[in-house]
Amino acid sequence: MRRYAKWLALVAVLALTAAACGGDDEGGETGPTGATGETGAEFQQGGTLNVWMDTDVTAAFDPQKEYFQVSFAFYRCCLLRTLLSYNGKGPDEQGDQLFPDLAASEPTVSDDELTWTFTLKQGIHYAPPLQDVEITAQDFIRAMMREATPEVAAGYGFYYSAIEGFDDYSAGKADTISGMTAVDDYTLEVKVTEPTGDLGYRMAMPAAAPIPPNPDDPEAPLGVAEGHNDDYGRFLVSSGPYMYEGSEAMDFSLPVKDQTPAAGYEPNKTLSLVRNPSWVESGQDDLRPAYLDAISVEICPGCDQEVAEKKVAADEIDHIFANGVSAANARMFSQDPNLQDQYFVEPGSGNYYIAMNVAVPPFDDVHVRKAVNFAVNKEGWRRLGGGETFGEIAGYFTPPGLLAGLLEGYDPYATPNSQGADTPEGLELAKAEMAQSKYDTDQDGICDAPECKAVLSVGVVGRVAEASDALIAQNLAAIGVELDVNSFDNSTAYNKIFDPKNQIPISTFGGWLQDYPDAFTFYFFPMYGPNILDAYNTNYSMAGADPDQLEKYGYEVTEVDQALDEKIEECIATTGEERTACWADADKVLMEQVVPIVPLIFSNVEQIISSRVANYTYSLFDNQMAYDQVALASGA
Amino acid sequence: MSKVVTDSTHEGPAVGAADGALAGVEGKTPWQLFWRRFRRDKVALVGLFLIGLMIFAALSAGFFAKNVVHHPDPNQFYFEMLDEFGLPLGPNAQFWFGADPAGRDLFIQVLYGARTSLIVAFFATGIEVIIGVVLGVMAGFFRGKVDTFISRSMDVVLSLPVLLLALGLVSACGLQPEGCLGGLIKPGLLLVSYVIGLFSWPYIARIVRGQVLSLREKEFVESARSMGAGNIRIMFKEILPNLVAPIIVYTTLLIPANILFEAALSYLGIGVPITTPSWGRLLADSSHIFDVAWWTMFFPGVFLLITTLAFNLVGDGLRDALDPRGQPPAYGKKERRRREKEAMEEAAELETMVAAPAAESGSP
Repeated sequence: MRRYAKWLALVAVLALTAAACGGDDEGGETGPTGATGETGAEFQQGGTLNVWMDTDVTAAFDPQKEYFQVSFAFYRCCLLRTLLSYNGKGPDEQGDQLFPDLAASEPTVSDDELTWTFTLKQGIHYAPPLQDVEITAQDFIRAMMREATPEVAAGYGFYYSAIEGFDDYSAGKADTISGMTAVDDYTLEVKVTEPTGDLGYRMAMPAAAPIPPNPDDPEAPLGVAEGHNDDYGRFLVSSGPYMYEGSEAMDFSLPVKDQTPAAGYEPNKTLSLVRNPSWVESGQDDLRPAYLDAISVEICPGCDQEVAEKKVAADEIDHIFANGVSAANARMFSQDPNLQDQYFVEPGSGNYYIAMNVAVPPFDDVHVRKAVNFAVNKEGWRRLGGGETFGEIAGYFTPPGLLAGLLEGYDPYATPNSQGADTPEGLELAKAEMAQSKYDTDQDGICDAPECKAVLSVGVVGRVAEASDALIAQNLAAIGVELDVNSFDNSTAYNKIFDPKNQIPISTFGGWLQDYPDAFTFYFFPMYGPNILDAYNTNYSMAGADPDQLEKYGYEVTEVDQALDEKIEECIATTGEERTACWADADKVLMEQVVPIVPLIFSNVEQIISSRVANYTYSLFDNQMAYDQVALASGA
Repeated sequence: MSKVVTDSTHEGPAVGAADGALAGVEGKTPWQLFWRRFRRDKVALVGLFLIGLMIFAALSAGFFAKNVVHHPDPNQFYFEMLDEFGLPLGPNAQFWFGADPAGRDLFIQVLYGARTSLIVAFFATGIEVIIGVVLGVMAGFFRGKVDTFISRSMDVVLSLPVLLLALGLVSACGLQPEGCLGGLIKPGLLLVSYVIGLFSWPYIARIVRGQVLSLREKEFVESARSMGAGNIRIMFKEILPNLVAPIIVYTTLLIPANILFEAALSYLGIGVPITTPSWGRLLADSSHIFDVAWWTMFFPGVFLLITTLAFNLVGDGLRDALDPRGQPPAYGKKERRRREKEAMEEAAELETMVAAPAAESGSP
């Protein structure tokens, strides 16, 4: 289920951007601060930001369950502080870097890299009704215990399996997580079972945000979340600059069944955030200026986003959360002199790719996979999806922001204007590669084996997706690979490719999004053989599958290249610049040796805002406008 | 030469006012009578012409694509016809109808769309008519339990929310490459046709049943039975030929309904795949951009409108022409005056013919 949640995040953030997005960056400014954002300027305090969403979060804001970028954004900006966090800014302003948040400083790591020690700021209190409760080290352990509690059905406990004793606690073999120790109220020690260079990122995820104890039931292991396995999100006690409106009315002294949630969040209807007075009083947040007094979110499932976009132009709504912008309105914003300053194209943290199953003919032959890479018209695919604003043409897998630009210009399958087999040169390159394949018996560059006929291709329904699939089918037909394109609704399509037993030869709607700014999140599930699962498997290509796995899932192919697995394992143990360089090398192994995918684009994110917004700022971590950074214009 | 109009039916030739007086008068076949009435209906003729034009467009789509606009592949993407936002560009010298939302030649898409619409319309209508007529004849002829069973089945099918069921069925069968019922129903044109046919047959079955209930009591049926004809022969050799007129009329009215049904299914995204041009699909694809790319909705919409209108007009014309009691509609003063004049002339002729034998028999 946790993989499914990740997919939901992808669908919501990436696929919706693909659906009909458009725009160009001539009109709006690209970058962390837009036309209205002047770094260092003084902005008006106060006011209410009016936000619109066409879908609610996935788990009613339960921090242990939400595995969704939209909720991550609300947590980071507004509701939950973590030991380390992000500054809510873009790539040019260290938006992908970690900064101490509730921690007083960077953690110290032991020489053997197995013990991390965090020192907490003192005097930080929770929001009402627990304004008298100070945040302490034990609260972080409580959060991890909740993440490990099976009854909670948390979203991404796998990220914390590296913590010593986490899995034992989860399995009921221990009463506490042995690797987490509150040395004192302000010192937290975390032991990991193996060097885990990205533990800081993991501890910056919302699941690691502190859960307060229940003053009326100090022995409750999960504090105020005790008994709220299904609905803690509605009883969330904030530590950030904002809280649910009416939070102060929550009464944790009552039996759980008699407790009423804060009025400020009604799932699928409204989310109303107001200032957290405890945050104001503590005065210790270097990351969030939080100019706004309140944020009012209308949640409108099934409503027409294009209508909402028009309301943004009319200043009736200030921002649309999460989704891209329709092509028509993107063009309107970018071309209308009165709206140009309210339209932004930002670099995202995701990609789109075609997944080829390396264990299914004809894609079990690396030359076929390379030929497909040469053949696909990426520029055409991008144009169908919304043009240049849709994203940057990808020559490799990992978004460049996670590789510090180390693979700038790298594309082992480059064709003129990235148009693949739709150019004579591209077609020749593809044919030359295909001619080396065992499936091209006469070596004329056209696959002539029966394995290349009626190759099942799984895609999703929708105008853009189906047109894109038709384009891919045309491109592959040029080298003799004839796709039998089958388009399904999202849920059905994913269920088909999630199951490795289905042996889907090729799927055209692959996409991945970072959980945090480390390339690990791009490899550990989609490309790592040991993580191939019986259900919700996201390694659609079966990259790195071992012979036992192949036999288990009924593949006739008995062996696939496992070089990438070795490289991934090497990178996991590294840190710093060495780690980044290692992931860049892993990408080369992926693209040149294993070749399980055709990278298509690195996605962009489009944003439109009303003229009331005075300090537009884009948060690279969660790919959203940072509500903790924006202000309203004078008089708005 | 004198003429007498004889609106004859199966029940034998009309008996003239004076049989002896009609000797030497040229009789007309039912077809001639039908055509004479039908051709007077100018609007129906226009409809017939438009249908012919659509069929011509459908048949010649490939020729136009290859030799006239030089865009031979209807699914070829022309990325130069998409702007930097991925929005299609409008009509120009090379793309007469502009580009569709995927950057393909909309003119060619519309022409091929005619093919899809007509194929689905005729095939689905064929299924519908065959099922409806067979069950309708059986219900009306056998009556009793057979009639009860078939009529209640019609009621059940008619009470079903057809569009919702069609959505479900097309989704269920269209989402599996192997289709449904062991591959009998597969995604694509045929599936859409099956769905339309399977849910719409009761309409024509009811009409046929009602007619058969009346016809089975006629003397020619008794006559056939007395000569030893079996049920099958009576149903399909004696009764069915007398149902041709209402079946033809109703069929022409079903066709446009089915074209619209196919368009609706395609509009809802469960009709034909994107590589099969369809007006409904084109309309669906344009629904989010028609305000900035009007041509994507205008041209398929106009063709859909014209085709359904044409079939409806022809259907009305056929109904009028095949109904011996009806009069084709008269459009305009000129037509009305012409008819009045014609009626007066016919009356005068008839009067003359009746008067002539009386004179010949001679009064003393």
